[in-house]
Amino acid sequence: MPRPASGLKRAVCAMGVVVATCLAACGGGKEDPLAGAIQDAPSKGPALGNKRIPRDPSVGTFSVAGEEFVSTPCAREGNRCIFSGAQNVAYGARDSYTVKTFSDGVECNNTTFGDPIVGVVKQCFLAVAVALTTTGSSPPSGADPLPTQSPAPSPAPAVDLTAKLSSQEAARFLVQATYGPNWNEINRLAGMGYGAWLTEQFATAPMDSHWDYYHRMGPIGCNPCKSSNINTVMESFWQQAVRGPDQLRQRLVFALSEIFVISTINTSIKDVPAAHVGYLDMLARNAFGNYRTLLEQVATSPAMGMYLSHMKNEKEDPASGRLPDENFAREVMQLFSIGLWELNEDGSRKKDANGNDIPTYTQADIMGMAKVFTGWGWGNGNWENGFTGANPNDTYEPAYNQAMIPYPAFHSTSEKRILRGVVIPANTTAQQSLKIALDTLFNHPNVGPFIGSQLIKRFVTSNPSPDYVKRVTQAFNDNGQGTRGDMKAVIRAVLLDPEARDPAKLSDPRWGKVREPAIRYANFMRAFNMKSQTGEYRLFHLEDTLSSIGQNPLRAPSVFNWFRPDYAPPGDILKQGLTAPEFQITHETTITGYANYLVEEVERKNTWWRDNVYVGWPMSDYLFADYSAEMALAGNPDALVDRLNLLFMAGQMTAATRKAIVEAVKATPVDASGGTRRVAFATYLIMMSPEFIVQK
Amino acid sequence: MANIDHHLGRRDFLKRASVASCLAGTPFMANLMAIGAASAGESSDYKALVCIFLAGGNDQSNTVAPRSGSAYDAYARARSILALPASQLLALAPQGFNGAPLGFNSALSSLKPLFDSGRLALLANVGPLSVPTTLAQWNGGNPTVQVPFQLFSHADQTGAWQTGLPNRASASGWLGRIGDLTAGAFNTGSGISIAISAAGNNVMQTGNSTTQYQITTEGAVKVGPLGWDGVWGPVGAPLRRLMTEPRSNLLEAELTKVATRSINAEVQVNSALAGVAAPTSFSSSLLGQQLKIVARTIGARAGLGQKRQIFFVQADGFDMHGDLVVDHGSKLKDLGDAMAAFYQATVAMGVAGNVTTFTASDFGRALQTNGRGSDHGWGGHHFIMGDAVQGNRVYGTFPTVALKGPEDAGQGRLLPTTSVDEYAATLARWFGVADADLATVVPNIGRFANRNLGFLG
Repeated sequence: MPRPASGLKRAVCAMGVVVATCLAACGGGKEDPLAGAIQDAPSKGPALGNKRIPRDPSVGTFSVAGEEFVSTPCAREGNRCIFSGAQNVAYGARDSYTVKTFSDGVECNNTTFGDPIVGVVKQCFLAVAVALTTTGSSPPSGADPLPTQSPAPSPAPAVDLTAKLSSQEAARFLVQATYGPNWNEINRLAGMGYGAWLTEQFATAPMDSHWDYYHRMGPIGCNPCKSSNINTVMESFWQQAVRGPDQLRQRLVFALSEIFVISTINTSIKDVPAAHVGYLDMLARNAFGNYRTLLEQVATSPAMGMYLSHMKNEKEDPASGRLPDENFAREVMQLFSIGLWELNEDGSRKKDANGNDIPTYTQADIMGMAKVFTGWGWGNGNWENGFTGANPNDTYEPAYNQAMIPYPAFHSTSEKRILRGVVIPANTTAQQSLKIALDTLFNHPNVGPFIGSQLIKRFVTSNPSPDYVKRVTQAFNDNGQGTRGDMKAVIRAVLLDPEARDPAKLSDPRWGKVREPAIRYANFMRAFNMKSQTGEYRLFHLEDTLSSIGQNPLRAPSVFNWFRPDYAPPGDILKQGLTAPEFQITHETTITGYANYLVEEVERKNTWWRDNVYVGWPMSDYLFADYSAEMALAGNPDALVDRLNLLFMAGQMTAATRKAIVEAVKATPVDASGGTRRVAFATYLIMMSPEFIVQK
Repeated sequence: MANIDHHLGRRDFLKRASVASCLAGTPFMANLMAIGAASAGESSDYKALVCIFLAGGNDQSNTVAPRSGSAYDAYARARSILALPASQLLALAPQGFNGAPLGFNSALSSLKPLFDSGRLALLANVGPLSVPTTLAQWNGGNPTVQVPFQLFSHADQTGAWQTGLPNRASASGWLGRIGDLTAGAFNTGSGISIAISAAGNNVMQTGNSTTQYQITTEGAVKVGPLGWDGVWGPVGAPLRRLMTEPRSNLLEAELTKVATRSINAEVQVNSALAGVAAPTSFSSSLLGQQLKIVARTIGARAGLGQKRQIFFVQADGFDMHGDLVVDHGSKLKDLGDAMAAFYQATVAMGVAGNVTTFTASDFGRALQTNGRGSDHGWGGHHFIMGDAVQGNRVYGTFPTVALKGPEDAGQGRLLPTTSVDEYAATLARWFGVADADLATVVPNIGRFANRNLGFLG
């Protein structure tokens, strides 16, 4: 009989109430964050009575007497393996395990199991027998044992929002939902469960406003306050990304900034900090609100007005032949709401009678829309405002914190024919025209799949199943209380979807996403509580591909962001009809730039570094990582790597990677720096490993 | 190279990357030198295409304009505040041209001598077309024939220009497909892609088997810790393994593939570039620096084992909905100066007849002003430069520069009279693609009349 290995894993997951419960419940009895951390995977199995544990023990299979088992880690030696009902539990390390059956949990120690391998730290795995008929979906005879279509369409059971989590589950969720796990947050989330964490996040205010940071010229409590010019925008952004308690909002603001793009590149607002801080605050105010409001605030944002040139866009003038600027009218449809092609709820394209894609709008529709966005100007009531681009920070600067308002004299009063056959009658006011236009976009069935699938790609995975997209669309269409466009409902749907939480996805070769370079760097900063003495985050040129990571918030090369949502690199990914957007900025140059930038970042703790600064900043300005917790483990390379495994990749490190990194750490002397170098090298190798760069 | 890691600042990476002295005497280096020696007398068989992509949509009407008479008046009327003063246009006298007298934007003063001396040609009103299209067929925007999808959208028209396929998604572009057809024959044994980009990922250079190799303005950059002794010593081997080992997750597998390519290519490229300085000086602008590294890479072609090279560079910021009057001149000056410097470099290297440089852009722009700038257009004018070019000529059909003229597709947007396909086919033929294979490069070429526009000998 063919052995559909991945199919079996899916079967386990589908049946997997037991597994899900186990994963939710176990993680060790005490507050041991290392509980469940992955150890060396033994490469060969002992026979009967002791079971074979495969190479990658996070989700592995082994067989005994022709029966398949799946193992999942449960607890380290000395902790309690928590589960309900009867379970086979394997206890041991390397290639020596004892398997026994217990009910409702077991203490994971020599007393309970005997000692199958003396002198080695052991752990417990749940060994779950897999029944081929459990889901009723045995593979058809003659079927390819490794099917190429995506996993079974039926979702795993709804995610338990109140259950405590294992450390790995918590860390995995934080990788998706925040700028990166830290030790404290992993433990907090594990104890709270998803539901309480999200509720808390929705209620948590930002630590500062970007506008205030800019005008204060530094963080709250700064002394001196010296932050100025466009760099202030980056400083304020990174402060909130790294230190902000409202992590989910911070990630959502970043995701929204990659959809509703403004940038400092190739634009008149390239040196206008007020534009960008005002815009970031606007996104933050609307991140957990309603999409309709967000769309309107984007459309009337003065920063967006400048970026896409509808600020002070004038109505048509038959005498001179001038027609309104179409820039924003096009992008508000193509990028900010409905996209180019009619979509089904699951994100697939609708087809016409001939099997062709159906465009959502025409050039004529754009020209009609362009008229809607005429006569909108500075919110301070002064149409002229004197902005020439030469000296941007003068009198109208406060207007960057005010929505644009209509100036009737400049607004088109002719009939405006926009998409879907909607005709805005002649002499309709600017405000009413805007309402009709934005309502038309908002209510277009495309918005859910178009925006929803992009949010999935920004947080969770590059290739969600159509069902996953559909569920997020449905959350957009109706939040459960009859409201369309509820962003909280959408983000909950994205993060709590069974597919997003399904541990079986860890071994699906099509699952995952390349972590964006800016987020990888944030992961590092958060893992080590990176900060400067002044509290400033002076990070300015991260978009440099040569000497840095090749990406920077608010510095995308164009309104099309850093990558298209449907980009696929040539090769296997493209051949299988998959996307991997972040590969558009993952190439020889950026891989190298990232690798070299990391060297200095991980090393910036050595005293030798302080003696060799070349930029000329005061030491108080430099960002330093805090390695103290890791330094305490520097004498124990296994423990050090385990900790970093959890912090950076939610325990997903393969056995081979772990072995290589532990060996590198062991080969690094604990020198006068007190083990800093060991931490630096371990961190470096982890952040260069595929398991980190590709988030699963 | 002992103990260099301790005090290495960022800038040092770049210096280190270009020093190949540690490799001197190794078998690999000797091999490269041998290739160099063998190719020394064979430059006549060498060819390079250099694409300068003007991102954002270059305003063609203010790049080359009628400079006098009623033609100028019609231009000035249509453009109102955007119109260049006639006195500032640099007079051209293209051979065999019977249209209204033309002039360059004064910012292109560096290109004018090249045009006048026959090393620069102008291809007028070229753009993506699905089929040859008359104004009647355009029918005011409700066309009775197929036209490119999503006209006037940056991403889509950039795609149409770069893929040569304006009506369907394509993962490959025509420069990449040229690479597919020529790399095997001409670059046997080269470890580097025939397609080299100094401007990042682009679909234009992506072929079915061709993936562009991306370099920086400083050359190929090395991943430092892979080669360090001293305190970083323990990192090198595990790092190499993590970066290169095959993986079963598809995204991880792609990642290690890219990293492996990077590691292997850097060694070869930097060895070849070592000691190849740019023979002329280039401006510090991004475009200038990109063309400088292209010049050096051309100089290093023997060490790369390449008799055919396809380069891509990009100049940004041409999407001037506003600020056309203020900014277009400086962009064009940067373009013209960089192109001229690059031409001079090819002369100094003795390959001016082997290197053909050409421009492309998402689209041209509408003739009509929106008050401060111009909106997305369609057809545009482009330059082709090199000693192989029959310059001082206007190819294609120069349009009537006026509203409601015979090419006006609305607001003075130009309905192209030459297709990207014909432009690409002409370049491909010169580069060495057989006539029978042109349909592989530009699949729609059969729909158009001029497989060879004639600007390349």
